[in-house]
Amino acid sequence: MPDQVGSQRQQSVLIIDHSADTRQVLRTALERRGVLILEAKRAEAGLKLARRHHPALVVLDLETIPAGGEAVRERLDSETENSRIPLVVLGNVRRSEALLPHQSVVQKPYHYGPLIRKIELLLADSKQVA
Amino acid sequence: MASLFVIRGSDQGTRIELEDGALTIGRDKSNGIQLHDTEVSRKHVEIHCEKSKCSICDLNSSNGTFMNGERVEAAQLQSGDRLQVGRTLMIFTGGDESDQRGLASLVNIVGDQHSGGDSRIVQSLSQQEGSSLIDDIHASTSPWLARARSNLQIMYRTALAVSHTLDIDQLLNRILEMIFEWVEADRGCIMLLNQATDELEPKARRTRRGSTDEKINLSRRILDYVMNHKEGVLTSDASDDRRWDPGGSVVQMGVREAICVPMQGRYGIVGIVYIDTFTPPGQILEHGVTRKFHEEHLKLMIAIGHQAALAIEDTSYYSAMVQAERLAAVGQTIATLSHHIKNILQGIRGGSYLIQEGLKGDEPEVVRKGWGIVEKNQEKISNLVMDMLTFSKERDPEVTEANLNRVTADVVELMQIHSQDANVQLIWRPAEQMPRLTFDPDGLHRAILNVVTNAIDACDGCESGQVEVSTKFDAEAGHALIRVVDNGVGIGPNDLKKVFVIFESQKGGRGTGLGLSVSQKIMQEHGGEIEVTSTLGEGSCFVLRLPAVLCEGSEQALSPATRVPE
Repeated sequence: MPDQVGSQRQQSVLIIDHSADTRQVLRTALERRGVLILEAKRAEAGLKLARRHHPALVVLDLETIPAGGEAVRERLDSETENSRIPLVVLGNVRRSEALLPHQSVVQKPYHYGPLIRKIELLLADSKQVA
Repeated sequence: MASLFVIRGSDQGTRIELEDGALTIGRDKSNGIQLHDTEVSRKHVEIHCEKSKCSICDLNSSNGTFMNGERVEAAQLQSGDRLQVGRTLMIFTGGDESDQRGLASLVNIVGDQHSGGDSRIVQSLSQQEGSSLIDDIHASTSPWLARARSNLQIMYRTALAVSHTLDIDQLLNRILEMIFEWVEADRGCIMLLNQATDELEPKARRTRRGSTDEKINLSRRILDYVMNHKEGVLTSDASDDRRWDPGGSVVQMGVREAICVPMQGRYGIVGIVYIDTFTPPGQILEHGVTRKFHEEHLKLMIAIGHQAALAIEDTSYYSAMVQAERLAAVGQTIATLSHHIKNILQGIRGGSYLIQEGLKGDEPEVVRKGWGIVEKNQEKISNLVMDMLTFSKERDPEVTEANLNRVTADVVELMQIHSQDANVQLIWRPAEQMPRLTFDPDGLHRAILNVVTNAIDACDGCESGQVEVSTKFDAEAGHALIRVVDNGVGIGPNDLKKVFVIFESQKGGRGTGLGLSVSQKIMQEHGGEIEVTSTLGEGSCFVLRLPAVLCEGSEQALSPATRVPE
């Protein structure tokens, strides 16, 4: 696959968000920074993309997890944890909820500036590790 | 089934059904009943139910468990009991299914031929005549019997008054009125205990002489006695014998007698009833001191107070329930709207961020993308506001002459971009014959817009999604129809019942749950309706029916097809 060859140098980010606006904003902003973007509207589809392409980072909007879809969430958690992919969770997570070390949370409604900066930092870190 | 209803606290309005078995109440998730109350312990109290008989057992909670205001370790629950844990107050209602089953076997309704046949109706009386038993007070020769009848009558009438009203003020005034008919009181008042401040507040007053501005001074000492001892008192300022001599204050000042009784309900005292009477000095000199209030009056007043208290408790329980339900509805409204507004805000922030980035890097393409997103969300918020205004009664329909084909075409044109974005084909088939009709064009625009928006959303993600909008005029049936047919996801039979229910969105996070309720409201305001048929996986068909109110001159413009055959 061509993007697998490219992924040696070009980092990719998977965005799982039901909002077309959010996907477009993140895509436009990150592509300007030389990042390759993968998109999914639903968590299930996002999980498939994550398994196939091993992105450098995953952005997950919690609203894409359907009611009763805890299993999908768990598989996404373990998939990203095992592949050491940072997972940025967008949504309202209770402070008491335990977070895995590779996860970070951005509470809604958020500002895009800080979110993009956070993604940039995480990408820079994973580049160093690689 | 037995249940607990939360009437105070952060979970106000919640009803918890109690199934057989044990269940714990507490603050954390592991409990069968989780209360969002910081004063509730993690595991606070256990409820054990068997055949709708329930008992509670405190689990060493730090703040204790209270039943009807008293701290308990363990107790049996009776219907109407108030259970308080932390700041949460619940009312227990016992189930009585088992009792009903038991009763059914003991009480039978049988036909005449099986009843032994020797029972017949000897006399019948209407319900109103129930009181005639005790109406005829003076017919009796025995004064004791006459008094007893009179007492029974006032209790009967109190019971009637109590059962006939849900308005507390009205009830209190009625009770005072009856007391005045029955006993020679000059002044009376009812004070209720304010639960929040624990102070007695006057709620109703009555004076015989009609001087409404006459002040009633109640002695704090007597009130405290009544409240603390939960006893009624009969007082007289002539009871002090030392003052009773011709030169004493009583003869000069007259005698005031009073009765003050607690209003004792199921759970505690809800207030007091007070009456007094005054014998002027002149009368005392003429007839000597004659007491007007006696022990019997006191006893009866206590009974009346009890009846009134029960009614007041029921009424406040009822209004607490109404209030709780209203709060729950308001909470749901706010939650839904803020979720939707949050999503719009997120969109506007995204668009603004792109504009900023684009301006910084001098990239007009990025600016344009950002601007597109801002505009789209601006449209969303405008639609939301219009839907809210239509749903509230802020906006009255403005009926005027208009062309339904034109109005529908406007909607289709407006939705073209949205449907292209969603990769859905939007087809428009206007009726060939459409007379000018009288309706609210802005209202119809909104009604059609919401239905078309939903149809496009229903096709989102479908292959070769298609929405067809058509109009039809039926002169014979006297209506115009707007049909919106899509080949999208369809609606299941259970959800179909809920499509017009406000805040029931099938679109997950994207819908406000306002759109179709608003469309339906607009059509109903026009005397029309919306019909929907749908098959899951195949698509839906919405038909908006608008009763045709023809404009002057439209008769001639009617379709030639209906006129030519003459």
